[in-house]
Amino acid sequence: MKVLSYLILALAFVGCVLSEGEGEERARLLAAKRVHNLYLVEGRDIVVQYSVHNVGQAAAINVQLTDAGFSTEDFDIAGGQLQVKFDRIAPNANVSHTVVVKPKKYGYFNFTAAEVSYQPSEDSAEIQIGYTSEPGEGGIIAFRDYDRKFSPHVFDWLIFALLMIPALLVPYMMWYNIKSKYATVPRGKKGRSD
Amino acid sequence: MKVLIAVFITLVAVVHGESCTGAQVEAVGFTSQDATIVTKIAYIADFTLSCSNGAKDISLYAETVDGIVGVARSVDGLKYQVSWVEDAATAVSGERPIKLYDDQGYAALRKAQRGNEDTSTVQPIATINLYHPGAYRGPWVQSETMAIIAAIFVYYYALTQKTRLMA
Repeated sequence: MKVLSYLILALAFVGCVLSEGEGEERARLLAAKRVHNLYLVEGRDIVVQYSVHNVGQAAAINVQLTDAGFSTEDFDIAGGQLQVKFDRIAPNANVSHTVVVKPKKYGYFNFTAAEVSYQPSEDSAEIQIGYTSEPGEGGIIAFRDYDRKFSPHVFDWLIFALLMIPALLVPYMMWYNIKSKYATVPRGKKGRSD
Repeated sequence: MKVLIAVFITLVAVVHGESCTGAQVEAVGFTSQDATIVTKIAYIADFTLSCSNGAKDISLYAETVDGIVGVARSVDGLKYQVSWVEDAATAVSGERPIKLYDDQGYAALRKAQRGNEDTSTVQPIATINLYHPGAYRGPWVQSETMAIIAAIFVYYYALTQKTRLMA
């Protein structure tokens, strides 16, 4: 079983374009997309967290976070929204956003980067576009395979117990009948003959 | 005339400080309830906000376990979302209050924090209670263990009866 190591925090440098104007205060956003799962299972929760850090000197305005990676064809959204905006992210502040999705199919799936767009300063009209880190490819296990491996198998054990009952009950009943037939006769004490 | 004044006041409120009075929130919560395959529990509250003064397009701030954070909004600005994650091992169940502040409340809160004053005096415009019933972490006892215990018990009973008979 390949344990998914999705917690590698590979921060993508979103605002990696060097600012042209010297001394101009700009916002720079670092964004990460992380999957907090041990296993990816068909029809079960996948917790996806996006965190955005502003490492620039100015506040980022109208930050829009869009993840087009989870199409409704392949995923159900259990909680959260895939497209959100933050009005402003102050310098040195960070925000996080969480979405829970449920895959409809199994197989390999490539978790791609989400898009972050923002205005790098209060009075700038240009829109900076960046991307979050990419969690990469992950294998989504079919629910049947997952269940076979990890379920408590209560039903299977019940059937096993039912199969064992005749094998145990028949000798027990035979023994019990004989016992109840002779148990009422008190046994003579040892070492004394009648 | 009265209507005109009312309209004017609303207009002023909208233009001026985007402050929201008589806030009403309608929230839908989501928390992870199966902790067997995830490492972190997600707490998500989706809500809509309506103000009795008709203020729209309001920036909100929320106080959660992460501190005071900006609230995410849908692009049309109608739906808000507060979310965070906690380690599955340490996530607590029960009611989790989320206090919501508007711009003025946020400013007051920051001021109180800077001055090391009591932040509880700042009134949130609304509070959401997100209920987390607790997450399933797998069975208490493995079924294999139960089967072994049952087998040992049957064997022990049979053996004691046999030794009593043979003695």
